[in-house]
Amino acid sequence: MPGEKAILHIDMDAFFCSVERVLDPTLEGKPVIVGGDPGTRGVVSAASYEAREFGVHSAMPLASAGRLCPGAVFLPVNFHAYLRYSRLVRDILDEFTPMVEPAGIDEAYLDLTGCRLALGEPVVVAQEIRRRIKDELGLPSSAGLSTAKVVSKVASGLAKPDGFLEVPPGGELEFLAPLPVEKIPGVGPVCRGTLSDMGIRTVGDLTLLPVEALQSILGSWGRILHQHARGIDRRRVEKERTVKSVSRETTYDTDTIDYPLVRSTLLLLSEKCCRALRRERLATTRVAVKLRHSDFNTYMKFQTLPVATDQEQAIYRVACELFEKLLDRGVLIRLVGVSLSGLVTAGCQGELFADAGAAPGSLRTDRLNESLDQIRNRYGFQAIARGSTVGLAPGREEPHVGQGGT
Amino acid sequence: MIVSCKKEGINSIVQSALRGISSKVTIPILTGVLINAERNRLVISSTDLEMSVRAEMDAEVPESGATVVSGRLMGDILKNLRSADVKIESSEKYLTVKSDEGEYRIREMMPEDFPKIPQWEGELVLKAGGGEFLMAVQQTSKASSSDEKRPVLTGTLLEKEVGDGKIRMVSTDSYRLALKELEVTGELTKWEDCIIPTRALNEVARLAGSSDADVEIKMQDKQMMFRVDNLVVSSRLIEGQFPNYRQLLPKGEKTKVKVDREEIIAAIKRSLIFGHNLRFGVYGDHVRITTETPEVGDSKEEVAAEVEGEELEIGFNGVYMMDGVTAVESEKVEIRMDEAQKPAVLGNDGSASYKYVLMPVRLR
Repeated sequence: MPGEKAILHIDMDAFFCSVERVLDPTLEGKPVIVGGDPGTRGVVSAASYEAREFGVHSAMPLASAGRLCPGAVFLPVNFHAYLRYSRLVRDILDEFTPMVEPAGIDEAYLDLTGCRLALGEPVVVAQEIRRRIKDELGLPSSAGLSTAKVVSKVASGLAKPDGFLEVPPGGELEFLAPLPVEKIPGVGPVCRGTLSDMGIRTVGDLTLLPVEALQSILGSWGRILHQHARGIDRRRVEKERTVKSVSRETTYDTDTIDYPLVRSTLLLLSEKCCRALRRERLATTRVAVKLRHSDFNTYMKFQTLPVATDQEQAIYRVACELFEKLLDRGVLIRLVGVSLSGLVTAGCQGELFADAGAAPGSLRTDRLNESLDQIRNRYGFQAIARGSTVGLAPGREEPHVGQGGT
Repeated sequence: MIVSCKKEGINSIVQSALRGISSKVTIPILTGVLINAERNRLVISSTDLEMSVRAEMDAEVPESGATVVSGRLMGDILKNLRSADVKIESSEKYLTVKSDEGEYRIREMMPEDFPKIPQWEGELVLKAGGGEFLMAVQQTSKASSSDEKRPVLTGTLLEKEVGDGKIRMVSTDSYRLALKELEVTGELTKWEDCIIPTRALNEVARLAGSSDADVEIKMQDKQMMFRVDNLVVSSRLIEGQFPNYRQLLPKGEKTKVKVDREEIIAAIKRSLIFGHNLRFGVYGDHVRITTETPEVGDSKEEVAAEVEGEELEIGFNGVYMMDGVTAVESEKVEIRMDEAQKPAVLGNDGSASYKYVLMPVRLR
């Protein structure tokens, strides 16, 4: 229907495994598990559909995967190759429309609304995009098309593998209603449990609940979920944005002079800021720490870095130094924040003498952070934590980037 | 104390001594220059407790003595005098500078409070050409760190290469490392490898650069001493272990590139307008430098190059790369690379005396 929004969600199928197959065609048809050797203590990063038939799934210990599917080909994570192919996919998407919003290494949203005249009907364009990715790169993908991001994302998930599903305008509610609630992105095991305790199992059940009820249980997320369950999603497809700064802060439930706790919080905030930086492919040259005392007096200190970085290990070190300078012993702390500015195109200056260990600047640190990002992109921020930040409640992830202004 | 001397001479040694006064000084006596006059020698000294400068000249000394006055005042008044000769006299807590133009009295400080300044004693150990010394310091000092938290990296390693009659100067801030071999004469076998503050080396180079004389170098009482003409600079050593840089010097390389030095400098300069990090691509007969800053703009340049080995794409901090190529002496810059994640080595075409090891930027 002309004029209706046309939002396409495109999601690569078992992306890491598919890339490995492109690099080594002899893997075609075989169960492939990316993550490492089954004799090691790692977890599965990705499993091909053949391996999934044996019950193997992501985040499962490699050893268990080895027992379930002993015939599988186990491969180490070759993130740089995946990143390269991710960019190649992106190049193809860019040829169709500038309205592309990447949503991770293996998925993206495209707004095809304005493309009808130039490219034709979105349904046709969607299939053309999938065909080109398959023909030119050899990678299978699935796509969902609807009027709203959330619906398209659910649709592409159901279309997998190598499929396409269109939800026509007006059909959103009908499409979503029979699905279990956890199909809505953002509904994790905890949320599902809470809803299940109330007898809510399907998205249709959700729509029967008044918005106030959801809001009282889930906070502001409840309000959004209430809309998403109806197939209403106000989020637009956003092109690259100009990010001027990234900042995170935490207010303690009770004011504190527990400095180790504050330092752990600084680590957590550094992690969150850097994760946001990496997502935007940016690096920072200026770190600030903000401290608010129980009397609401607020203090801030900055430090300029010798080289740009996107590693929390480096940020945390500086943040602790700034904290020491700000510290007024004995005064209760109400809030602590980390802010990164002076943002430049990503690129981490390597250190000549750092490669021996996971020191800031080293390649190993980069790889560690990449792995953490991957795990968190898939299973949420709290899926994995550094020891000293365990138990710090990070809450839901808030909007993470400061836009415009200075 | 009474001294008569040429104004140019005293002005010159006072200006030299001023180089030894730190701008961050907090102890009043260290803002001063020590003036010693005896046996027809006038000596002006300064120190910041890490480094000291001692400059001397012939003068008429009818009455010997010592005093300390503000270095800045002394330097400023001498610089602005026109007369050919000056006379300085110390009495009643004032140092009086008498010239054709007039008389200027500077409040004195207590010479007893001034730290002891090391003097050059005994025979020299090593000698290097002044111009070569200046060049070597210019080539290495930029790679030194200014981060006081890692003191060793604020210094330059001076290491002997006995067989070749050379001193190897090495400095690094852990992102890049510069190495230069300086030809010296003298008894290298007696040389003890040491790390000296790069700031002191810069001052010696500056002083040596304005003179044709050789630089004499020796270790004395755990101080590194440099003598150029009538000047002696002494510096404390930096304690600690210099990073093992030898392991960084790649044995082989997969890609070797030669580019025109002037051309690559100009290309980097233009690219830096658009971004800090350069994407440096090596192809069959050229290198391509691209930069990109989202929402600002981007740049793309190609420079003809002699390429041996594999094609490669690697990221560099443009400012660091610029420091490396500007220090190259030959018409062409040689760049050896192994992998995008491993250090690259920049250097002269056909001579290994200068090496600049640059850790790449991992582009996302």
